[in-house]
Amino acid sequence: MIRLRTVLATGLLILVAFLVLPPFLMLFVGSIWGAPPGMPGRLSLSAYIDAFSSPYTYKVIANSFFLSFVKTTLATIWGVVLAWLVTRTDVPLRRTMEVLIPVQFFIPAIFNALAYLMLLNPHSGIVNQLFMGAFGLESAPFNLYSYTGMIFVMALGSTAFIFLLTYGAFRALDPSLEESARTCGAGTLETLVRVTLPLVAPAIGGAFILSFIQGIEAFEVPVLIGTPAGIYVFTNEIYRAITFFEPARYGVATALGITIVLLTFAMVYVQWRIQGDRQYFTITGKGYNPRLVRLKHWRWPAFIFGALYIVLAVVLPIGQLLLSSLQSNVGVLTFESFTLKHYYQAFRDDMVLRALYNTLILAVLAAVGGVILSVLIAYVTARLNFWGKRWLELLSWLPWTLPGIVLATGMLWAYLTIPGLWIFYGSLWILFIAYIIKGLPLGVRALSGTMVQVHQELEDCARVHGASWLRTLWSVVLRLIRPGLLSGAIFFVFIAIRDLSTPILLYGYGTEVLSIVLLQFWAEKPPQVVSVLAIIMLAVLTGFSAIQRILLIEKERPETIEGRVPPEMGRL
Amino acid sequence: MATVKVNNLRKSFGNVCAVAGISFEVEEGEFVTLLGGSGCGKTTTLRLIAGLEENDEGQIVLADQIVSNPAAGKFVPPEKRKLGMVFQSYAIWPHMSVFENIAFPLKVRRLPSDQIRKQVEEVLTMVGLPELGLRMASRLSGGQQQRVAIARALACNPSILLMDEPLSNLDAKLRERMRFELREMQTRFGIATLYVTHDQAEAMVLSDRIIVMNEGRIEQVGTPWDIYEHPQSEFVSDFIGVANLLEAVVEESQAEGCRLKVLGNGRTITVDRRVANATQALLLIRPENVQLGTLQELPAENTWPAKVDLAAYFGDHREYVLRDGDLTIRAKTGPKFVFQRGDSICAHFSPENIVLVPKQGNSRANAQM
Repeated sequence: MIRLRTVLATGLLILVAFLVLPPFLMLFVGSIWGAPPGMPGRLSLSAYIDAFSSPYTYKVIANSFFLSFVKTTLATIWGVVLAWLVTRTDVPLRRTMEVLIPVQFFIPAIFNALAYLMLLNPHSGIVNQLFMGAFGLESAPFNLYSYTGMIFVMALGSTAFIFLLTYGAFRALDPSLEESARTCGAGTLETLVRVTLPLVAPAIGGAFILSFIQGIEAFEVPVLIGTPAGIYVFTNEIYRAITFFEPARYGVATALGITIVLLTFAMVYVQWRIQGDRQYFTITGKGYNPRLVRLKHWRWPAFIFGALYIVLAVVLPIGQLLLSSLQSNVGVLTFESFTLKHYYQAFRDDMVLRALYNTLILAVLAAVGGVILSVLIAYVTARLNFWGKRWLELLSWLPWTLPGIVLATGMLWAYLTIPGLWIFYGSLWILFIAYIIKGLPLGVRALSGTMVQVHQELEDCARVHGASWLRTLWSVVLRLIRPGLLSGAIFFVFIAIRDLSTPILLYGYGTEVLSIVLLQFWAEKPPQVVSVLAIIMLAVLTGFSAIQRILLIEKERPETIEGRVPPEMGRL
Repeated sequence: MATVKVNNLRKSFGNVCAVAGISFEVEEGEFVTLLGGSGCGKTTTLRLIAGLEENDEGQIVLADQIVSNPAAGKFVPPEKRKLGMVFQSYAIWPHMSVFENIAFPLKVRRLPSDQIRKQVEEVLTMVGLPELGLRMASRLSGGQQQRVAIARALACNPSILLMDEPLSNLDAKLRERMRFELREMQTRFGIATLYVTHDQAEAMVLSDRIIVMNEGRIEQVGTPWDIYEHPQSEFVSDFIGVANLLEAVVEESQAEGCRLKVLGNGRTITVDRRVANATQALLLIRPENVQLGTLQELPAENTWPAKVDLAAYFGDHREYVLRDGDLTIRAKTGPKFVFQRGDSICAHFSPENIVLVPKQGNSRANAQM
């Protein structure tokens, strides 16, 4: 007996396959095509031979791994210490730090990179000027166009990421495990080293690998800082191969792309082996009140450690871009010199307005489309008895191995060469599809995580009492996972607003987005105008987050209206 | 007329056989309990009847309508079976108010809103929760959730009510009280109820008939009295209540009684019934039927000396573990019988209180007698 839900699930599987597979297939086809997309080509391995016979390619690979490894190691130490400090010690202002540290996670990578490029500018950067003034130096002490500079800026972002991932593990840790170590005679340090850290080690290991993969896939810092410094990694090398040369070296780009996909595949596999099923931490709602470690005379050094991160990762980037967006002249810091003229200019610039409009449209579309698709996949894989469930899971996870620039390369090939897909090329739709693909792995995982928390009996109960399968999905499941839907939506919104690496090969005239214009302005316009645009991007992000918060609160209103129930009524 | 008629029901999950071909009926207005340990197939049976799982074989008839028969390609989805069901977790939807929860079955059936309102209020009053309709469902106590779940199950006048361990999430005191309340409600509504539990005391209090299940099969069907007093298998006698099960060899068998030799301590025991064509027998003696005392106080027949191994005081009664040879015997007495650990005393089993349990293997033949 063929059921409606089997038909729908099969349709979903086909749709996801149509979305996800073309970029992969065409990436592979492109690497052996021997000609640019759309041109007649013939099978050849010349792209691989070209790429892997040149020592330069190995240098690029080595750069990628070296940079990502060093920045991830730094960020892991930094992030784990911060997470431990705010969850388990009596460091001053820990609640405030707990709120401020994750703010960096919210700031786009392009924003960080631009802010530090301005802050450490050898001529006008505040930091360099301060140091030069203070120590009477002849030249600027800090140069961001270096390995160190790249590592530093990338590590800033990753630290917040590691913090968020390990923070949950520290919180979820049952304090009685530590307390029993204390009663067995272990001191503070011994308990930390022999009990606490081993218990959170899987979380740290998983976070490390995820962050390492992100480091390999990173695009903004390599293209903004690495390229001018002549430091090439996978991503800015692929970008260079496609945009710098005439004719574009698609072969090398796709060969490098395939390499990166395979390497990521291997790393994700390792991560799975390490973590097994512990990918998610169920943070129990129990009001654990762990005994805080007394830092004694280390309290204030620890505070400075935490505060330093907040200054470097949150205060300085936002402060710099906000200030410079208001300055009439670069480097002049008097009250009279503040002006809003760059904002006026920006909002009269056609390209800015178009990019803002496109970004908003894409953010909303990606959020709606991405969440619908993710929730359907999550529902089918978590709840239905469907033959293609494993395939659906695999397909939705596959884009995880695709860095934005590689996804874009694959999409470029696919949408230029596959008949029928041409119509999307150069339109907003290709960006929409790309964002959906990019967000799918995490979107599906987040939503199936929420979905499994909905007790099966809540669904069964609706079925027994007369609701059809679809009605149950609509009136029970979707209503219950509403907070999950909202965070899934904001996740897709973030991709659409922040990402630079995906649209950079896919936009056309008229379909520019904010991140693209930001990159163009950085090359062409004074820093104040760039700052204005960066601030607009941050404002859009903040706006969407605010909407999400409001929608979350709305949900809880019926209970607050009803007021407190007297405790005796709570009992029978 | 039977409300539920299950015939040769079978269900496997992979290689595991959960329900191995069972048949039973629930009459109109009857309260029937499926009783058994975890993994015995009782919940699966209930879910098969609800349509939440599909049976591999057999037929289910609800209110004279065949709802499932794989051989005929017939399967009615759960929403079309017109059931009421109370789940173990209550499954109260936390995003709805009490009113919305109860109105849900009526809403999906597209009843006019004034009728929904009337019916919900009616059923809320019936379960003793009037004026609670506006409360958010997530803000209810366990007992209230329980009642809301029952109200919701009853809201659209189902022909049968299914309950899956509805009391297991309540604390001990409340659970005990809810047993009586449930029974009282069910009698008042007169609705046929199929109830699943692993708690034998609950089954005894609530049921008109109990179906004892084990490893996907029915061990015995009967009234609580039948099941306790005349267990038809070793499993049932051991599962229901506490049982002293003595293996014995028949020494002499006559129409008015027989004499047996108990394995374990080698003593003889007489029973006032005949053991039908067998040389071995299984004797069941409930702890409350073991009389304790000194040799002088007790009748000479069926009285053995024993040593007190363990003594426990429960306030309203005392329990003892006695030892004689390799045999341990549990006894339950009034609070006044005081013996210490290590005391040498005597135990008496009056012949009319000894139950002959059919040995495993021919138990099923006996169950169908």
